[in-house]
Amino acid sequence: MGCIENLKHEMVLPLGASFSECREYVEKNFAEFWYVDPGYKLFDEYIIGLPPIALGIDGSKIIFPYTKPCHGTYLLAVEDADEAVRVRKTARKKK
Amino acid sequence: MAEPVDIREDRMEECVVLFCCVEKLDERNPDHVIESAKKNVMARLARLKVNQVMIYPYAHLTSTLGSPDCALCILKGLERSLREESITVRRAPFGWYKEFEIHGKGHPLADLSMTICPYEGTECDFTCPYCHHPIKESDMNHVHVCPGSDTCLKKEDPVKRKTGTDPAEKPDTTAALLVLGCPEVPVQQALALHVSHNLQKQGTAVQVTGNPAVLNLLKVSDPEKQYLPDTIILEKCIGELAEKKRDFTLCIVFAHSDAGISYAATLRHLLPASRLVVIIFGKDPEPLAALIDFPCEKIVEKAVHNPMQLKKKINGVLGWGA
Repeated sequence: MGCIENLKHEMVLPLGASFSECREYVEKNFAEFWYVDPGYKLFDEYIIGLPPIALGIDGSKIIFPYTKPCHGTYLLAVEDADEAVRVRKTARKKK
Repeated sequence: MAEPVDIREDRMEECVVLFCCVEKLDERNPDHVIESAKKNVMARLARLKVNQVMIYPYAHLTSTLGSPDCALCILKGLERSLREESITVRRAPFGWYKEFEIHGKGHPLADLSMTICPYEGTECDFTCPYCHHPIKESDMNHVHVCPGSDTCLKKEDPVKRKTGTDPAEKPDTTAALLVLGCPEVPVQQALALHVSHNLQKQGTAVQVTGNPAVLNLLKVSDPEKQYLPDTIILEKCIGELAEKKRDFTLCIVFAHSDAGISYAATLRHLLPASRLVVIIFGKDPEPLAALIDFPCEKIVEKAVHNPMQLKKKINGVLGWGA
């Protein structure tokens, strides 16, 4: 997910968050959240994690877990209205 | 195209049977394909201590068949070049539906799948099935020169052979994927070489994926790709699995961190029918192992610098002698 690092992002949960903590955080802190499976394409990259992976949406901001092999999982937020629309169309509401 | 035959029945014992298929891309460089096939077959024969070969044309091994003319040209070329190495060779006739009986040894070395890449040793600026990428249409149209045979001309396959429902036509899925984590725990690289070596010994094709750091370390350890012939960057591998461009019957994930478990979960989802073995190691593997709630086989062992105990467990799970 190298290119995501180049996107203007905000760190919602720092390094060290587990994938389950990321999911719980999204579910508890965002009114709008969606579920996807690993391999879902977001910002042109494939999402890694334990299914179902929770993606939060806050306006045009997408909140998602980002895993790097040598580091672990972060929870990041990236603003992208078009991608938010695409997530709403392609992700699911139910776990 | 059915080759004229005189001998209608034949047999060979204590031999290697080469079920051979010439693919479209082989038409680009038949000489290289013959030479490379000869070298690979000779290496295998030396290992098996066998000097008899039956070449058996078997069109059902691919969905991108080469033209019959060129296929026959290459198979004859292989027959000739093996004979030049003092191998006793027989070749079953090309283009016939043939009845055959075969008796093989129940031994790990008895069966092997081999792909001869027409681009091996050359730099290609496009993708091909041997690199697990789609074939470029323009490349497919760029055929073909088949030296040594006047009959091998650029033309459509007159027989218009089509793929059928023979299970042999399905893509080769006797392949294993090794997924490596961050290289900070030294036993991982040593065990990856060990696992790859043993899988290849039993005839399983191995693909290794990981981040650039771990792949570079392995390349330094194995410069001639003896143990790790095929590597791919992790992100690309995940993408190709998600797009169903690849499949594996066995997936082995090395995990010593939360990220490793995330990757294992991802692989479970992307390869639902595969055997998944997750090797959990490092300073404190038990809490990591407890995070796994998806179906897989777990191998858990505290291991950082000393791989021996973990190796023993891996050998046990994968059915290898200690």
